[in-house]
Amino acid sequence: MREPARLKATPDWAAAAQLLVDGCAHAPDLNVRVELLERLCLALGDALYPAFLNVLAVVGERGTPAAQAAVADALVDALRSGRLPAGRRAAWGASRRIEQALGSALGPVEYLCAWYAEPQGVDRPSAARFDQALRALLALLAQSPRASALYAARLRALADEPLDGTLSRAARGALRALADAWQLPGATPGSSVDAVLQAVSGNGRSGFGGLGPALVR
Amino acid sequence: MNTTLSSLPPPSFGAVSGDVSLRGTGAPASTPALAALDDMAGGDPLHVSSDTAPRAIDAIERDFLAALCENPPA
Repeated sequence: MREPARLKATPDWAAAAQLLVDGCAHAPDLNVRVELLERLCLALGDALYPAFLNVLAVVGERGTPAAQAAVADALVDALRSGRLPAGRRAAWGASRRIEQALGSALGPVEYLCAWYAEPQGVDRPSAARFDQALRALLALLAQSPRASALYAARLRALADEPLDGTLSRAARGALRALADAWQLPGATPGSSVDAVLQAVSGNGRSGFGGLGPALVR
Repeated sequence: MNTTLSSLPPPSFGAVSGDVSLRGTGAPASTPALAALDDMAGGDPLHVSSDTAPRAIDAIERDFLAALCENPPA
């Protein structure tokens, strides 16, 4: 049995992101693109799913439009085929049974939102870090014309489905807020992320209010 | 001392392997994967490489893990 992957102290995010970009851009067909996403995600495993998410965010933050579109189209293909690369977080309120400890698998956007909104989460990102990462993911997806409608529908479905405790009420509220904001005419990644931050803040999390200049744009 | 999952914290972001570390107790399990975004913000743009030859997924996976992980498969 293979040893679980362990993250380097200083991962080469740029190299990983470049491999993902080129792999998606030069794949011969959508099945290969989707398989590539699946394989890279599975190779890291649930414990390092955040690293996969981070690679996506790096593409969203630093990729050229063509590079972003290659990955965004692959994600849309994965979404449409029900094979979105996903990671499992502990179910909200998980009890002592091991099989209850890990909830349903979540894709990158919903994973990040749930992690930030989770009221009992440990090591959750600051609001500023969450803001940066989610903006990057949404900027990435914005390069695919089909992505926002498809993904917003997915978020709504997740928000309306308790998913055996994977998502807290706060997380579902955050997903609903994102889905709604994302679909507004003229929506930008910034306006969509702000809606999530406000939803989470209104649910009892400090976040949007005390950030100072980090979120002033 | 009996440790149950319910007595442990939720999983750490970037937690390392194993049931216990999944619950956020693995040392330096809080490896902040997202923190790297701060370091990346000023880097060079990522372009689609001009080499259009598709690579095997196995090779991409191997290099991907080598870039990120300290224990990539041989």
